[in-house]
Amino acid sequence: MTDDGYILFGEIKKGNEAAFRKIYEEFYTRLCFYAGKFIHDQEQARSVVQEVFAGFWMKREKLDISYSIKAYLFNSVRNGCIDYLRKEKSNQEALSGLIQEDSVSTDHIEVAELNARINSAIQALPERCREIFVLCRFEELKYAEIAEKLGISVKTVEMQMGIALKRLRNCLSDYQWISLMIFILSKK
Amino acid sequence: MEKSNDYYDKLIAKRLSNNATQDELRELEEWKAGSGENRKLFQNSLKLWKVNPFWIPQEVINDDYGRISFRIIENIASQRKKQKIFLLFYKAAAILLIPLLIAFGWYYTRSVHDDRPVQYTEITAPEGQISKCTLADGTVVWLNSGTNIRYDNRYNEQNREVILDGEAYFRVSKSKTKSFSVLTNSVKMRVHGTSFNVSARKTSSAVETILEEGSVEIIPSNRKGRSVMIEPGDRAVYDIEKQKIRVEKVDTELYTAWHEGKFLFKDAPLSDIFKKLEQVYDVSIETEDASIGEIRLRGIFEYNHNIVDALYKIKMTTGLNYRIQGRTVNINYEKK
Repeated sequence: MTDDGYILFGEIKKGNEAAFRKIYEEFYTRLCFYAGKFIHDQEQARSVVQEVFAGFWMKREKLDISYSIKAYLFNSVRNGCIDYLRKEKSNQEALSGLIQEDSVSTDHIEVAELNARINSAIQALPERCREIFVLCRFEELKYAEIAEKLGISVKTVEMQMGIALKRLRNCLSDYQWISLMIFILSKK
Repeated sequence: MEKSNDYYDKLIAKRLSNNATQDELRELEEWKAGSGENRKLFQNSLKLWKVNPFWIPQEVINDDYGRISFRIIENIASQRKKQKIFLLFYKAAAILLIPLLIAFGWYYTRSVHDDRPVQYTEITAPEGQISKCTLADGTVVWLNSGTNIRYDNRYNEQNREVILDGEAYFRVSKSKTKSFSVLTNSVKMRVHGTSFNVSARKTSSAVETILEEGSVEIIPSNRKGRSVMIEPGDRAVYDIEKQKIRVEKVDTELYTAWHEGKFLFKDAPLSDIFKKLEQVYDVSIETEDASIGEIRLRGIFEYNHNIVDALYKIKMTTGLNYRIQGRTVNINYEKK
């Protein structure tokens, strides 16, 4: 564990909520994306991660994390996903995939980190630009529909989408592009 | 003329989101074939487009932190509830024991001469709890959170007198010969068979009496003030400093519901509700914005539930958010 993580965990043990919040800010989205790999309902995926954080806080005094908070959190989320999928019985494929790995795969962690990175890059887009991008990419609206909804021209939508794409591409470092490739390749 | 990269970014975005026309698709293909650099740019965009399955806006991230706090509180509360069942057992035992002790004491001392020293029995409801006890004559007293009553060993001989600090609800058993009195710092209340509520906290500048049944006479203890008889449905407020009694008709249930483990608010400002919650749950409630206290609300909260239920009800009706840290609760507008 890094010194920083070690100190933070010490503070959390003492009941320092600010330290807990810091860990939350750092890991929450990554863990949600990780859980989202197996649980496709976004709400449920987030719920599993929330339970892990609540448990982390309540068990903090008894916990002995000498390796890393990150590994602890990812493993707990993995276990949470397994429990959830067992109960739901909806996605057996994801469940057997999860059980086959004995721990959290580094590929998954890297992709989750990349997801979180892109997520915050979307957040960092100028407001209008972000709104348009989210409607297009995640709500899957057509340009014309977006234009009508926001009361703007289709030309503006086109332009803003171009800007969004460029900005998002620019936010990833070379290293992250490589892991993105690996992920896409290994998926095929 | 050479078209700028921005132009092709627009085209790529159209292609990825299925908004491109046939002509545009063809144009993009030609551009991709133009150089390895172009093709790579397109490939990267495609992967970037596909990799995130959903999007989590910052507001959701902030909200979810609140959800985690809520889960923690709920979990702790349910653990407490388990412990409380034990406590309840002891409380029940204590309630049963008190009248027994009094009866026994009364029986024991009856035969003794009256020059025996005065001894007081004291009953206290700790902060955050309501206690109920039955006195030797069958009078039932509910003590609100943080209240204490005392009476001496001559209780129920010639008359019945209790000394009150705090808030209590009395259901006095009928007796033709022995009057029942409540003494507070500043007033005495003399009553016959009746049900009434007295709030006389040492820290408060007034003594408040709410009468449900029977009749009560309020007698200021400095003797200068005039005594007043009140009727059922009356609320009498004695201003200690001005030594004046003001009487008004009220909905008595609002003031007495606490002894049934409820508290009722009908169009009350939040500042009043907070005061009540602070008293009942022994917490301190803080707000950043004083105008929050002016929001008016109606509702019933139950004592037996934990404070989170009450806070949650407030949140649901007003949209105000809460944060619990130890014994302090912060209530504020949701931050955007």
